[in-house]
Amino acid sequence: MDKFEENIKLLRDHDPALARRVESVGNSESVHVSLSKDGLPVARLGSVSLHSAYRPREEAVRAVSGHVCCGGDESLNVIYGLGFGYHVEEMLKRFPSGAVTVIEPAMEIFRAFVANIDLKPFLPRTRFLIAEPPPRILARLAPGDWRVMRHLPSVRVAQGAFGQLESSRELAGFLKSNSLKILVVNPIYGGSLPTAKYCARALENLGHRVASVECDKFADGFLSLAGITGDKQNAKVLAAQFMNFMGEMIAARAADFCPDLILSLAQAPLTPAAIQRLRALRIPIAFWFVEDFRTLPYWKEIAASYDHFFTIQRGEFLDQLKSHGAHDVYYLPQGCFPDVHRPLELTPEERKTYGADLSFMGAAYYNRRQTFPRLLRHDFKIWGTGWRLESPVGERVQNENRRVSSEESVKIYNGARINLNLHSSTYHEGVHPEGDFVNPRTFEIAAAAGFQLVDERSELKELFRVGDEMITFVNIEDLKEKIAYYLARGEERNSIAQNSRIRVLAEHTLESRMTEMLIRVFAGRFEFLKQRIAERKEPLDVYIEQAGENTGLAQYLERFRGQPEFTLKTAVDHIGKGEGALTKTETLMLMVNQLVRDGK
Amino acid sequence: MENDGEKAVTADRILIMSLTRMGDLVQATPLISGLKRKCPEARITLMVSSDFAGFVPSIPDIDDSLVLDVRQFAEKEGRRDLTWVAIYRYLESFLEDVKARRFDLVVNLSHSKFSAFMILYLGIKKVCGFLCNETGDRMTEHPWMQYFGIEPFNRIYNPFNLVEIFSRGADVRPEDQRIRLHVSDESQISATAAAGDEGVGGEELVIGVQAGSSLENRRWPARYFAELADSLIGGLNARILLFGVASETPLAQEIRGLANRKDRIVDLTGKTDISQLIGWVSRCRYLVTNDTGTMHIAAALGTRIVGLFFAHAHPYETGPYSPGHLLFQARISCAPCSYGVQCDNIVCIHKVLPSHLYSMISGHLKENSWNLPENMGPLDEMNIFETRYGPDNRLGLRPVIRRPAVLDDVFRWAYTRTWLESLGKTDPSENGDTERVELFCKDYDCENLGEIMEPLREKIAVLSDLSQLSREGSQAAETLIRGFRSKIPPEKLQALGNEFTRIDEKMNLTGCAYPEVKPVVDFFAKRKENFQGEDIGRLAEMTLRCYETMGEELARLTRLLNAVVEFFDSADFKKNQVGVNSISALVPGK
Repeated sequence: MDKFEENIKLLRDHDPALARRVESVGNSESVHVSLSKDGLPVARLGSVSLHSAYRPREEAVRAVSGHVCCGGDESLNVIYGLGFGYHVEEMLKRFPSGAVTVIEPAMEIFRAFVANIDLKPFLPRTRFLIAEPPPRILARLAPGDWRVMRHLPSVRVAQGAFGQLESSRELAGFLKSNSLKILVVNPIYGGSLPTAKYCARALENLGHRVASVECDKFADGFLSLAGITGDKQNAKVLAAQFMNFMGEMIAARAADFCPDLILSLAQAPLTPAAIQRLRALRIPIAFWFVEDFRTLPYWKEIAASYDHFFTIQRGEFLDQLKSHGAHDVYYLPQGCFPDVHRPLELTPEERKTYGADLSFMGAAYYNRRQTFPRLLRHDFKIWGTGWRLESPVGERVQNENRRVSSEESVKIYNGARINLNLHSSTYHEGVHPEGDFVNPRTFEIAAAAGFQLVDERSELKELFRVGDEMITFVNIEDLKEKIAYYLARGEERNSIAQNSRIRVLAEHTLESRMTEMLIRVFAGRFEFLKQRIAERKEPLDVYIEQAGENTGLAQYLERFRGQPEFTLKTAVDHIGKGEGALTKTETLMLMVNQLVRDGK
Repeated sequence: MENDGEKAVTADRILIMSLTRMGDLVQATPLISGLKRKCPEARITLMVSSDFAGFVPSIPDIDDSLVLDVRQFAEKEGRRDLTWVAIYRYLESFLEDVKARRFDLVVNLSHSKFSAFMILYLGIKKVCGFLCNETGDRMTEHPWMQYFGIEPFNRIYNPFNLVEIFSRGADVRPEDQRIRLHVSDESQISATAAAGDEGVGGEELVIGVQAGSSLENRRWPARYFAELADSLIGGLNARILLFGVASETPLAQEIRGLANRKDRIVDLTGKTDISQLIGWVSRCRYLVTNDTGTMHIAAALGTRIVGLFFAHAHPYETGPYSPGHLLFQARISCAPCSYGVQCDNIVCIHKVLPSHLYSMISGHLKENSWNLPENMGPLDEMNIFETRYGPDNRLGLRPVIRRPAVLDDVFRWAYTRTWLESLGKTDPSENGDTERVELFCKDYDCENLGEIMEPLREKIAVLSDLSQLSREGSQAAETLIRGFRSKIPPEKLQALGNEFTRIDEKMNLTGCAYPEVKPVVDFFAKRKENFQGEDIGRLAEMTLRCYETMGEELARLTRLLNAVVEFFDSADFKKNQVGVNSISALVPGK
């Protein structure tokens, strides 16, 4: 009897995103289902039966009996391979207070499982991670203390996938205990600039050493080029020269910093020629295109230059990237940075400034300009850039179009009863009916525990439980109704906002995204990375080695252990802050500092 | 009272630290000889940088030398594995060696923090010059070395040559010493042999040219040197020798390339060590030079110098310390460059032309004295000085072009006596002030002295205000001393501290507003840098002394300036003025 319909109802409640995914695939012919001698369904792939053809439950009892599992501690019970879940069920029985995470690389097996096995005994204590790439799994699950049970037939049929998972897990552990040097290339300006800065800080929070090429410091120069000449050809030459210069600057910074990875953000001024020059460093160069590929088509020119191309969109874009020569493409949605995006207790003054029934923070894109007049009967505050201040909507603009800082944005998110989040479109009147990616604001408002109404996006359902964690609208009428509904229901708003915050902190932080990215980048280069790190000597180690063991200088330098990028200047600054008489060592270091120009 | 700054010096092992320039080494020779004379049993060691190690044998009265070789690391800049640790280890080893010699007196002839830290490391108790205390704070021991610290910021009012400052900074009277160098037989023989090789005859008029200098923007242009060389060759049949280190060879080649008479120009750049250079310079009748170490060598050897002082170079400070040399300087408002200025519009080098030098040299050759010929053309933007010993046996500069005295000249003159009396503890009697003013008027055209009388009286009033502040400071310090003894509450002590801050800020503002009085204010601040410890009673006494000393200095300066005013008001001066005016009236246009 096919249990699919009954199970899918359960699954929609438990994990709606997974339910949608499994519904979207048909029955696979590669999975054969037969009955065991004792009448239970058993799956077979090719010649491999995933369970005993005689008594699968007895087999599961035997398999689980040797496994140590407990429910109360911090360790994670992970089962490699689902099959038809007899071993999972047995595990749940055996440890009634525990939860398990099942990792199954094949969606067709999960599809067959849902169609043949009653899901009730598994829920809610089982988390299914089905056909998820290892980097994503490891970004969500701390790689450390896993108590793994291997369902051997499943592991046998998906040897490659589990092998990748294991090595990725080892890599994730390595990344946790080793500090990489990462060069982040900022864009000159634009919406991806804050993301670049958050990425750098997120990587630092993960324990890596980050240097940023702050191309944004040259924004005024770049933008002023537009006023230099009216001759298009000359303007083009100037822009190209500027880009070349920026490329040289990035190359110079990279040569100085010797990174293990270069991460370039969308709109970063890196031409294919400049990327080619960076190749001399023999390190991976990754690009995170946090823009809409339909709006900014320049990706076509650079796709083939990068080793890794991360996107916030999937579907046809992934295919187009491949057709333009991209080597490795990977879907990596945006995220929040909780150090900045956090709940705030606003002062009465701030509450006056930022408090509103309805707030919007963002640029004056066409669809927003068309939509917002219809919302003006509300206490509606608008923040952002590019608004026509003399228009009726413009009267609601609070900041006279000046740039809103990240800190101020967070106050806006905290101050509004409802944060309106309408993804931009340059040609739709309201909601983009085929909008796919999710903007950073969605995650940021959630992290600030703000309540938001967001237009429906195809990727949103994969990232949040719509209804519990996020409320969407499909058109402006829907939006108006929901504004009225939620303005009247403070507790409901708060509950949803708290749910969304819990979700983003668990899964959608930029630290999590950066972890996922690093695993993806270095999964194929783990040995290279290990060797590079092993060969790398910290400057302090070099200095101590040169000073000689047990010398006064070596002993003095030991106090700087753990300080990244130690230089003579670090020590001299330390001496400068000290009190009391200078020691001989300190005096000598001050003398050396007088002779060495750059303190390196 | 000590007489004229000559104080007893007791030391067995003396270290002279001169790590900066070759010229400094020559300029330190009177100091070194003076110390040797005062402590004949003492062993004098000279510490030099490796660049000038070859020069040490030429310095008289040196028993030993120490060569600091940090150049070895600069030459290895390309080595990626070389770090500051290597320099650290070298310095540690070097300084431990120096320390083992147990010096009991060090004379530091540099302002650098590096040298101050070195002295701290060595732990030498008696120091003349810049140093730092155990917590790394800047100090300067000896009043003349403190003067050395404020001089660069007030150079327009400085009348003292570095030789004099160095010497007095070690309690040596410069009047009793001359700059000297050993000229070895080898260097003479070597130079004579080389002269033969270069075809330079024994009776020829040989004129040396040192066209390079450590700072490029101090240099006179190559084309001017070439033009001068052509004139000297054409007019005087001179043989021109181009001196310099190897890095200056391109400059020498440029000069030769621009000159018409290349056959009479010998390029010796990069071909002489210091000993040979000394031999060659002693062969020259004249040396035409920027402000360089070679110039100081010539001064010690008695070779007549025609010196070119541009940009930061200032003849009063670093001019050659022997008589009979001629020094050119641009006379424009920005010359010399103030301390820290990085000029990107070096116009001063074009104010002195080859024709000016040629006229003076050819005239000197005929008359054996430096006289201003009539055909020199406009001289408004040029100073020409001759070095000479004055009646006080101090080396100074005589303006060859006698110009109207301006306020800066009057202050420079007044400061000379002020500092000699204050720092050198010489007789502060007013006797002789009038004669001194008369001597001043010999060097300057004082016909129009009346024009500066009003501003001068204004500055004297400023000095009076400063004197009042110094008295207020003294009173506050006395109150503090009494209060401290009677254990007044801390808040009252704090109020007195605030009073010092108010007075000092006001004095500092006055110094900023009136540069003429700034040297006194700066000196006050320099003395306060030396305050050490937490003992409020002792600090209060030191503060009192500081204000009192400043008051005395202001009184001396005021006295001397008043002497100028009185001289102007005197019947003699007015009588003279009438005569001058009547001549002018009778011969219009003269």
